Amino acid sequence: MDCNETRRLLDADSDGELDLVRHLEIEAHLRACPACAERAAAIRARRAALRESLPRFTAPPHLAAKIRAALPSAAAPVAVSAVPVATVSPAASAVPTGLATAPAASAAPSVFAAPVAPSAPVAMVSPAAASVSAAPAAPTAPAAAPRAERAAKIIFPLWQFAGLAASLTLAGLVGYTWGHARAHAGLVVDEAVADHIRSLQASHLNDVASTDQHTVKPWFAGRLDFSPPVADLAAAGFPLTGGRLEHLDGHPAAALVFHRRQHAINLFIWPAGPTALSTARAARQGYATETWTQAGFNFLAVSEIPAAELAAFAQAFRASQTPAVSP
Amino acid sequence: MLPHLDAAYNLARWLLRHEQDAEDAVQDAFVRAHQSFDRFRGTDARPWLLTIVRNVCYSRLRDRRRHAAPEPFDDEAHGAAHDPAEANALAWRETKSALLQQALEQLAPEFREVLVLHELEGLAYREIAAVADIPIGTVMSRLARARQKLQAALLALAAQEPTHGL
Repeated sequence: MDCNETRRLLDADSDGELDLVRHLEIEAHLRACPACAERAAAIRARRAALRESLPRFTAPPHLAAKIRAALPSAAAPVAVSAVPVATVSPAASAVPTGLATAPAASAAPSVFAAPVAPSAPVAMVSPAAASVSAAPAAPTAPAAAPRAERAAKIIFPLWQFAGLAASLTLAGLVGYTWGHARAHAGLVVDEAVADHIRSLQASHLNDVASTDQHTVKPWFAGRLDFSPPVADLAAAGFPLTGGRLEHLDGHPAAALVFHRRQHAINLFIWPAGPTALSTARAARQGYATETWTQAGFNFLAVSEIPAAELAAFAQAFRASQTPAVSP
Repeated sequence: MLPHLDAAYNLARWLLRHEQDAEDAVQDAFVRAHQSFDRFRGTDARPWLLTIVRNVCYSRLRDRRRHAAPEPFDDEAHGAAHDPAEANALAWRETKSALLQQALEQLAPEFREVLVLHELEGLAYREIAAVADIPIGTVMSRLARARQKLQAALLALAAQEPTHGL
């Protein structure tokens, strides 16, 4: 590849949008050509400057309430209250992972709960139910869907009134906090799975592609206000392949990318703060997830590998962070 | 909780450059999305929602300019995008946030849009193509051109700055 071709493709390459062959060709050219390498460095710096310095505006606090008030509450919304609604209809292909349900104790009707139609019901899966029963729910979904749909049609008007009263009383109970935490954890898993899928679809797995943890870990310095723990688990069969910046649960996060055979594992890492996640496993749309907290960081791993293998990965990572005990 | 509210507001705010307009546009978009949600099939609702936000914003931009019919955006018609070779990595790292924001706001909305969707929302070329309703090749060229124009706008602004610039 010559300079002209390289320069033409440098933008797309730094965006992670090129196929592997051309990416390697460009890397080879950059190693041999200081002029193009300097240009590539400028492109990376520009990208970093844009991402760090361009404001990403967040919605003002009153906007959410204003919008909810404007949305018509008719047309069969499913009010998600303390009762988990746990059917996922196969005909509707997938519950959009980006759309979250309201916290368990909220009275507001769940936005984007589609009208319950006979042909293709899309039921919102309550996070509390999903994290516990997503796997067993799936095989029984075809049978359960029509029944639940009729039940939802009958029950929901009651819940709209009862939900308001229930949430007011629940707010005073300890159970509210627990339910909120469970719902929150479920939302974070939803978000992480969506990030994982997006990273695969766009082939945008890595901002820094390296199997060397001593390259990956310092790369995050200056890009995040924390230093994520990095480990190479190649010995356990999970080689590190790179990392990128992510955003999860309202925090900038590190995403470390590992591979198991040809499957990618995204390990999201961000500081725990007051909202430490409890250890949990959950499944979403065929992806396994594992969540845990260690040494002040939240960890969330997502992959399409079997849950047992992901558990082994999580175990190996946790072990790598524990100082070895000398006999 | 409203999904992707921040992403929607961010795009609207950058396109309309006005807080109240952005709020109204986002509200409009969510109402429309709610109405057509039963037709949505997919795993990631964010690009779908952003398409609606984008369309609402461009309608408002047209209303502002009081154009009757939508004009197709001509990537070439916005002046030659010369490539300022002087800017280097060090200069980019020192670029101030306010200057960047000012420069980005100077670009045409179609250029601003691809930069916001790519750099701030992290959408892939394919997703940007879906949201903006343009071919992927156009996403690539528009993004490259937008970056050049941003760089040129920054240089111009920095030259007016009393302290160090690019």
